[in-house]
Amino acid sequence: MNSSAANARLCEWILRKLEGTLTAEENDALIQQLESSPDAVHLYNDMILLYSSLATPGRISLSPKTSAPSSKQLDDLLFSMAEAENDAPSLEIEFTPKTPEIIPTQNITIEKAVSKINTTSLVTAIVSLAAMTLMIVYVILNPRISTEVATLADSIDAQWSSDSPVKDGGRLVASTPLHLLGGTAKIITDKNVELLLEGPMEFSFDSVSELRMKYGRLTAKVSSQGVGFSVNTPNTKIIDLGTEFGVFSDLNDSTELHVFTGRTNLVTLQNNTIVSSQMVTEGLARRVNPLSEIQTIALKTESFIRHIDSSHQLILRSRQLNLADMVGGGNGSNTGQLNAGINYRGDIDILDTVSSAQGPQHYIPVDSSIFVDGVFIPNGSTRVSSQGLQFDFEPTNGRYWMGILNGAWHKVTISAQIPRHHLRLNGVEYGVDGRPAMYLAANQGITFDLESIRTYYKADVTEFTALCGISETYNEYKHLMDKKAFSDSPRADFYVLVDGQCYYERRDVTPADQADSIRFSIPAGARFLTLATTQGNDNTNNGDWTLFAEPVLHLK
Amino acid sequence: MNSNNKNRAEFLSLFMSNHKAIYAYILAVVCDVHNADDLMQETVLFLWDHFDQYKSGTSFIAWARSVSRYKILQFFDRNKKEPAFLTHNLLEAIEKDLDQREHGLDEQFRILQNCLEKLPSEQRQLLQDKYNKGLNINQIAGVLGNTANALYKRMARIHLALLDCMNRSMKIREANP
Repeated sequence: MNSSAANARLCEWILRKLEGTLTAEENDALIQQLESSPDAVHLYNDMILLYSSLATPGRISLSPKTSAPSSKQLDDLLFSMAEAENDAPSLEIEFTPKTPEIIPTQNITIEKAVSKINTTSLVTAIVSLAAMTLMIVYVILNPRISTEVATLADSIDAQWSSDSPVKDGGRLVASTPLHLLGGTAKIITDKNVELLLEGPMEFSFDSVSELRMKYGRLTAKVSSQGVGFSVNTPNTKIIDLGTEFGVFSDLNDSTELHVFTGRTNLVTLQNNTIVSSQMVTEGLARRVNPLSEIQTIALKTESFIRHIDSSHQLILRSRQLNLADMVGGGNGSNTGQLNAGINYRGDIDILDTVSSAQGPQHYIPVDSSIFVDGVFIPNGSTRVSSQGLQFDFEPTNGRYWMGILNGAWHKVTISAQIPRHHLRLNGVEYGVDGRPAMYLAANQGITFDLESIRTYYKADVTEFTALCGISETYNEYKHLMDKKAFSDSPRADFYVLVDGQCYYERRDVTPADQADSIRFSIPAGARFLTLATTQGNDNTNNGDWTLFAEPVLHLK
Repeated sequence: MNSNNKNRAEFLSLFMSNHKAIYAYILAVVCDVHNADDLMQETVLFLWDHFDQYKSGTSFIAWARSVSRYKILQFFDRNKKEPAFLTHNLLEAIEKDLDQREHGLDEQFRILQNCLEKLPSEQRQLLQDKYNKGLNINQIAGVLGNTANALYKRMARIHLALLDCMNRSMKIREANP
């Protein structure tokens, strides 16, 4: 007999196999074990019988408070159904006789049946009974084919109409009208299709693979198991072909389809008759007007919810996290405070600046944010994480301006009178609504904890993108600068590190240089992402109005 | 009761007595619940369509199993992307093992009911979520905030505990008939 640990592993593999989540390697190992051990075969059959018994309602009760119907009760019910079928009206079904299939049997003599009664009546009776038998089989053997089709997995501020109250964890039943008055809800169908709904919305499930919406807004993320899932609106049928897409339908019979990944088939309908059909692929969007005409529209990714998590009261309309927002105390989805930032006490506060200041010589952990590991002043060999990772920067004067800001503005009041103004890269003003930026005036560095971000969002972090440069506004104010303290052309360096390794470096950037785009993949399992700026070869941090514009982490 | 009704009654009686064994056989061979459900339906429809070929008094389960085996072969022939889970030798080993226990299935179900009642309530709740509510393990893990891996391990232990309880109860009953 195998050890209990080996049996537990075998049981787990069998469960995974039954649920379709066994990997190819585990599948091979399972087969190998079954082939080499009769005990394993016995346990396999034990598990199959147990699984099918538990999945068969009627005889086994999982609830201690209710007793299962007796065998006799169940048989009586079935026979009464059979008797009732006698009195049921005949079904008008077109029937094409098939050549009987020959099946090898044991001790069975195959004889052609001789018809002794009216063929049509017999066929009708057989079809009726077959349908009834099928229904019995459905009821007895397949709990999923009961009308339950999906589960309300999560919700935030969801208000359901009193006609259709639903609670988190509650099961949803096909053909039942549901009315989400407000808030958001996440539904997972029994074929693993994730639906994010935004109230107000009226809808119902026709089946586990089909949702009908009267009006509302939803995002569907369809797993390979759920391919073929369709969303029906009054004038369209949108069939998923392996994808993530958003649908908006209004009360005027206008429907928008936005395809984020993969492809869909958009079928337009008028009076339930197909008018047209076209493939809509990743990055495209279509509007179907009340006349069922298809129009091309711009993709609106942020019009649809992409993730909700009630434990954090989190609603994401994008799979992109704004790192500047985290600097302002947010969670990356614009919940932080603009113009707040991290100072060298490790606090998040509204930041202001008077002049350059001497920074600390050690790493400052930031306990007030779960996403930010810490901040530091780069100067030669410098610690860049709480885990003690070091990086060799060029030596600096150890001074900095302001702190690390969720925003992009600067002013000078002592050595010159430079008014507070927004910083600009490539002609675009940042630190304003819709144009996030992290102002990281040299010499400063910040390290984000990727592991915390993964845990919080239950997602992989795949890519970092940003734009970096020295604000071109410097050139507009340099004539006001004290020539002793500020140069005509300040220089600065930019660094982006992953786990202390340099992934991006740009040296001696000036305000006259075009801002540079950064984009790189983040390795799976990487723990820390560090952004830093240093003073460059002009040996001063004065005038280094260095910023990372639209610093974004991409989730998958 | 006319001959038509007698036919129905006989079919239903045989089917009800054997449906669990038929389904377990299909599930053991394909080891996929959705495919097993589809194949069960095909098998039952075929059994009814061809019930006139069944000779009373012979083994219904043997006939049903041969039909389901044929339907499974058709299924794998239709679905080339889904390779058969079991090799021929393994299929024979599984059939042989199942043959040895078909007669005791009803008794095993009664014992299972007793064993379920002995489970701690939170374990029974997990089984209810899985089997009564029809959730898959990934979905339950999501609702509970667990990892799917941890929940698979936990569910495996619960199933093993049930099997252990059933085996011990069977041995006690065999020792005290």
